[in-house]
Amino acid sequence: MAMKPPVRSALLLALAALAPQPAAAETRSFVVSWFTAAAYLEENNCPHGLNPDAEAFFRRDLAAVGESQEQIDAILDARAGAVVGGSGTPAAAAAAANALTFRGRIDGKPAHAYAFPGSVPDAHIKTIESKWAYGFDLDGKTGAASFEDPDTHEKGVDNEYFRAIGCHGPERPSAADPNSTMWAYAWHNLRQSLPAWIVTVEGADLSKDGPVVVKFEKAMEFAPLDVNSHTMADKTFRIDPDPRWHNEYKATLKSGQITTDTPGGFRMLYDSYWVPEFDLRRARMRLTLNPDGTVVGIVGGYENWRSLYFAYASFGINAEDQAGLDVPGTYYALKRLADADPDPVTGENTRISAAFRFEGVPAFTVPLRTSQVRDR
Amino acid sequence: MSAMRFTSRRTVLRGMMGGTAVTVGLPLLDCFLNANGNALASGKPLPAVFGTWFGGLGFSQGFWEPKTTGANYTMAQQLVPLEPFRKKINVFSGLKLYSDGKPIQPHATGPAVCYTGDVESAPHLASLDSLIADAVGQDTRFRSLEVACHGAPDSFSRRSATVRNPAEPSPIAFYARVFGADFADPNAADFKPSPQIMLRKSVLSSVAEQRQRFMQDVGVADKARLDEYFTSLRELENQLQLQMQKPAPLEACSVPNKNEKEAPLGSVVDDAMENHRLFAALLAHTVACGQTRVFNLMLSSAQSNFRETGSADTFHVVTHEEGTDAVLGYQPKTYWFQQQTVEALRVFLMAFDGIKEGPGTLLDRCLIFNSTDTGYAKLHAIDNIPLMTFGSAAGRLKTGYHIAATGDSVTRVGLTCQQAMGMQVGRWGSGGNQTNKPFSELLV
Repeated sequence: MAMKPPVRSALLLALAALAPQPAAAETRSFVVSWFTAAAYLEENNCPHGLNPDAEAFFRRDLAAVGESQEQIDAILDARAGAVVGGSGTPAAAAAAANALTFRGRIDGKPAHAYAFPGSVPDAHIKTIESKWAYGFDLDGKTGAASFEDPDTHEKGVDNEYFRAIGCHGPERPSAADPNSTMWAYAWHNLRQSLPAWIVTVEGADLSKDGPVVVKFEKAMEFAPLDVNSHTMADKTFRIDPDPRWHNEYKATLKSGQITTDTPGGFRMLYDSYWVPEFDLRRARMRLTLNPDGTVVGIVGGYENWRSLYFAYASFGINAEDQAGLDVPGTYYALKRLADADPDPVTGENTRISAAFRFEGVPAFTVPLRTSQVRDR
Repeated sequence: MSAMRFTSRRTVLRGMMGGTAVTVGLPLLDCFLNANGNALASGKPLPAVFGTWFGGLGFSQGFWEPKTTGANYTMAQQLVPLEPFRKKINVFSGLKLYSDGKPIQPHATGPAVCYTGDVESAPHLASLDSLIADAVGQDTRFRSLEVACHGAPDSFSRRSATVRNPAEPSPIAFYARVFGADFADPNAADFKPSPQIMLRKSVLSSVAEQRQRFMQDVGVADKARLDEYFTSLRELENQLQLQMQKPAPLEACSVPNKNEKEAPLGSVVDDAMENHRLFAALLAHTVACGQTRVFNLMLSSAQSNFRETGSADTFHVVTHEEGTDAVLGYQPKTYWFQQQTVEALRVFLMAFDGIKEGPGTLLDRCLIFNSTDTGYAKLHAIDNIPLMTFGSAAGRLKTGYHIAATGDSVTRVGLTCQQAMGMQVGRWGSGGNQTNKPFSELLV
């Protein structure tokens, strides 16, 4: 019995949908070998100086909550002798760390300065004042407060995260070593225990200008390192089918530069020690395919500023005492500079513009087999 | 001479003294040594001594690695103060550790692998020095000795995760422990066992009878716990037994001056350096006097807490906050702190190399493993971790070499040390850090 034309058409369409999709004429994959907040190196972008060291901001905060000079001296004297491995007794060490950790005040009672950073008075830390920052114009506005990207010279760049943290000494790159920020420290120490991130570029001919598809996905394996501690190239990774970690963008390749066409989401599992996961909204991305086979790129978007604050809060007293980062001060800066997605109730912005720089080396990918998916 | 030909260095004289049975060890006479005086007549090497020397936060990348490899290397800029000892130093560059996908704990993972061969320092693992002490430290008064110069009893030496060997942070207390009432001068004209030691030994003997009964009445878990406890008691008994013997004279042994004043215990770098100087001298005398064959010295903690007088900013904070100088190519303040480590090493080597033993020095009889917690301190990197060894373990290890073993695990040095100390061990470490490749080109 012959099928009626509409039925036959529907069946053909269904079969077409089930059939394997033709692979792009050219596909290149990379495993991410470096991922840090994009920090532009500029000598004078903190015209009022850098933020004070831990000794100074501890004194400032303790005075602000009403501790007497005598009490402050006692706490910090104990701290000086009680820093990790110091000569202070365990009790003195614990007391100093405790006094500093609980230097917030709620209803006059000591409060945890990292869990309740709002309990410490806002010190209005110094932030970046410059024309330059990496990133993208995420909101279509080119106000005086926005930056210009030093590479693309795109104006109206939104990167308030860089503005917020850029005047912390440990967050600043140096000319002799641009990859020496706290984000670099984190990546260096976390990369061996992070699932690998895979960037894939698909197009008809990646040697020519034209439309391409960019995927940013999570692998099932770690990215191994070579003997020089560089991410090993040409390794094969299985792509995690979990849709949460599948980011796909239509993009355009022009003169070796790939730029995503329209904003999209960027979600990727990171590390509970630093930022548990990235969840950039209205994200944009650009990549450069280098002649040596590697890739370098920037992804920018709006991130929940509390997720970024978590990286500081989770370190707690160690971030302050051992790395000189003012945690409550950073909390206020992130909150104040947040520039997107206001809370419908409070009206406060919940997200902050940010940009991250990544590098990748060539890799191969294979899909996860059905049995492997079932067994997960 | 002929009368001594059949006598080994372990020969003891047995007899009574003051109504107490004592054994009297014979001195390390020339007839026990070979013609060169650098080994025992039997062909066995002189008793080698193993030590560890730890200083936190390493050196500046690119400034400590010699440019050439092999023998006769040229000391790199940061290690130039050690040039007088270059022929007794092996420098190892390019070594790293493998985390095998496990989270890295900055400052802890480096020492964990250097000392236990395992990224996580698995609970059952003993540290390198402890393994060596098990092999060579049984016939000395102290199985091992641990000191720390930064005011805290930190030590990486451990029998297991729960049995650690804490360090002595006070040079005065250390002096009292080693050269106090229980010290028997090996060069003293007469010898009489200390009444206190005899009393302690007597008490332990009675304990020994009771523990047999005790062990029969407890469960398996408690038996294991008691066994660990009684093992330490047996070690104490052995040590007391040793102190019942007249020690062999040691030409190089002399009791250090006890009137030296220690600096305040703490993390102020000047104080720690002064206390390190005292510890270096005390340890050298301790080893020369045969009180131990294993020691551990910690100049500063991992994540070094060193700070200058009047500053609360530690060396560690500086590594994070300071930028790399574009002209110099390194972090200047970080470099300055690291030079304190180099200076301390120079002082330490002077103390050990300044004690003459036969044709060589005390340093020659030692094998000292120098390690740290990071490669590039600003990133707390775990690759290119600076490692060195000092001394030849009484001629068992060639010295004066720079070995560039890029990508190999730091455990290769630990395995080499164990084999140089005469241990019959073929592999060491776990996971990606396990190795069966000592630096055989250095082993004699």
